[in-house]
Amino acid sequence: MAEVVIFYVFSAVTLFGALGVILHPNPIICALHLVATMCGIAGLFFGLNAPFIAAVQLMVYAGAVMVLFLFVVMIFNLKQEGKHIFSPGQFTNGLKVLFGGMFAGLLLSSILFKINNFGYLTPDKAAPQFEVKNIAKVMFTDYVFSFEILGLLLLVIPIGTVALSRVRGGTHAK
Amino acid sequence: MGSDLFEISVNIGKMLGIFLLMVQMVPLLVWVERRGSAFIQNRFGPNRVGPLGLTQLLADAVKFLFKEEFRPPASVAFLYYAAPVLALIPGALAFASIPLAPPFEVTFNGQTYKFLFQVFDLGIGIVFVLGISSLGAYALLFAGWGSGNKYSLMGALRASAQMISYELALGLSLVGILLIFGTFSFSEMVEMQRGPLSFTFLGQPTTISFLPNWGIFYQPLGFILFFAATFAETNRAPFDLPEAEAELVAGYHTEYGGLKMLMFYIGEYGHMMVASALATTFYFGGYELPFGSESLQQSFSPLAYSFILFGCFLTKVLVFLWIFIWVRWTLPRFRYDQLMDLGWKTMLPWALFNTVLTAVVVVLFHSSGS
Repeated sequence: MAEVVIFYVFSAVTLFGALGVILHPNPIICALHLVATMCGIAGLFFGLNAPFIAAVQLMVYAGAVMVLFLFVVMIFNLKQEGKHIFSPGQFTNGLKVLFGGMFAGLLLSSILFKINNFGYLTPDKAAPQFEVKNIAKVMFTDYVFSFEILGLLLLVIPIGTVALSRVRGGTHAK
Repeated sequence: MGSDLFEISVNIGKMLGIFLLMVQMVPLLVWVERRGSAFIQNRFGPNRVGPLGLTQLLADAVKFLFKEEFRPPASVAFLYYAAPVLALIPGALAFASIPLAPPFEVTFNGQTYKFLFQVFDLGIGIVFVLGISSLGAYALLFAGWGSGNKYSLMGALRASAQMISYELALGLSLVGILLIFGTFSFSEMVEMQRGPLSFTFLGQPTTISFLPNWGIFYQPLGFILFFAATFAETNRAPFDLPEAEAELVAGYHTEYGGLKMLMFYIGEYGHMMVASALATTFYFGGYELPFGSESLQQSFSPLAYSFILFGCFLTKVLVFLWIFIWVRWTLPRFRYDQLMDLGWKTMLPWALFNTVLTAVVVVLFHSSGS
């Protein structure tokens, strides 16, 4: 019973946030809706008895990535009156609907494929494989190579960023 | 929650009690802060209302309650009102997951119940607290952008950049603690810090009987980095650039007054309490007494013993809170580029060094779960 309540509450938060992201004209409010989506997804993970993944979701996406997004959006001071996603009388609206529909179809079919082949993920089924020690064991034994490669990729990004900003005179440029 | 009425009601009482503990500490801390700052600066501080000026807080609370309700016309209503509430939530949630004393058993109507001395135990303590407290930046961002004021916005931008920068050093300084204890759970960590200092040195079990088995002796550098980073995360001086009153009027809470302002205060002190409680749990043995807990445990009932250890925990937390206040009134504020340089060029490399050093030491000594 509790899981059902948790699921519906956080699904509603996630969907509300996701709709807000694409429907609101103001970019900052959009970013805040995305934060709500991230928190909703974290809540869904909590409901699946995966508190570690939920907390990491909060820490990485809601805590770090979205704060940076907001920071950048606020610094660039975008115009408050942005464009609505479906501004009337434009030819590209058809394309938007078309590509959006294609992407939605792709997502839906992959979800349906997952459910048909593996069944629904329930809290009791999810618990053991989401435990911290099991995650760590799998990550550092079976998938250690891809883990290290990903770490290297992430290391390349900050080095590249520093190198690029140095070309322009660095952070203390006059 | 619990299986019957007694368990549920005790759990709800506990939940309220721990939340109120956090909120009710705030007026006392404000008093300590004002009297303490006066003591440090050779002034008197509030000493007119009541004994030692203690009822000044009551007068302040009444003043806060009866102030005019006001919203700037350029503000965004939802964000403006949501920000003070949001400032309270991360601190309260994080504080609720920290064990304040060992669990105790109570017999009622012939049944024995076991209660934790904390609101919930997720078993992933550190990650949960880091995840929740990283949401603290949103209260400042909401307030800064929602007020429709340039100074507020500047404060919010500073706050977000600062919190992200120091979260890295904070997280990395805790990796050493994770390597030493090998667990995420606060209660397991505290259990491991019981008794005298003992570890396996080159295959020889060594015990130093005059020192307690506290994390500070394994992670001195980690503690310094952690404690410095918490100052930045709580936006306290010398890291209070989000509200630097000499530059930004009052930063993100320029447009707030009355009870809404008070809620930001409670949030800030709540973060301080969480930071102090975390420092106590990681590095100073949590609720464990340094010495003589066995004889105490035998001479008191389990409930009384729990409360004695709760007093021990509270004492340690209060010491840290005093250090927070002490530092605020001793050190001047950083310049913004100094703040960023300290975070990225000093604390981050040292935290990485601490991580590597701890890993090497753990492998060399290979103390199986010291």
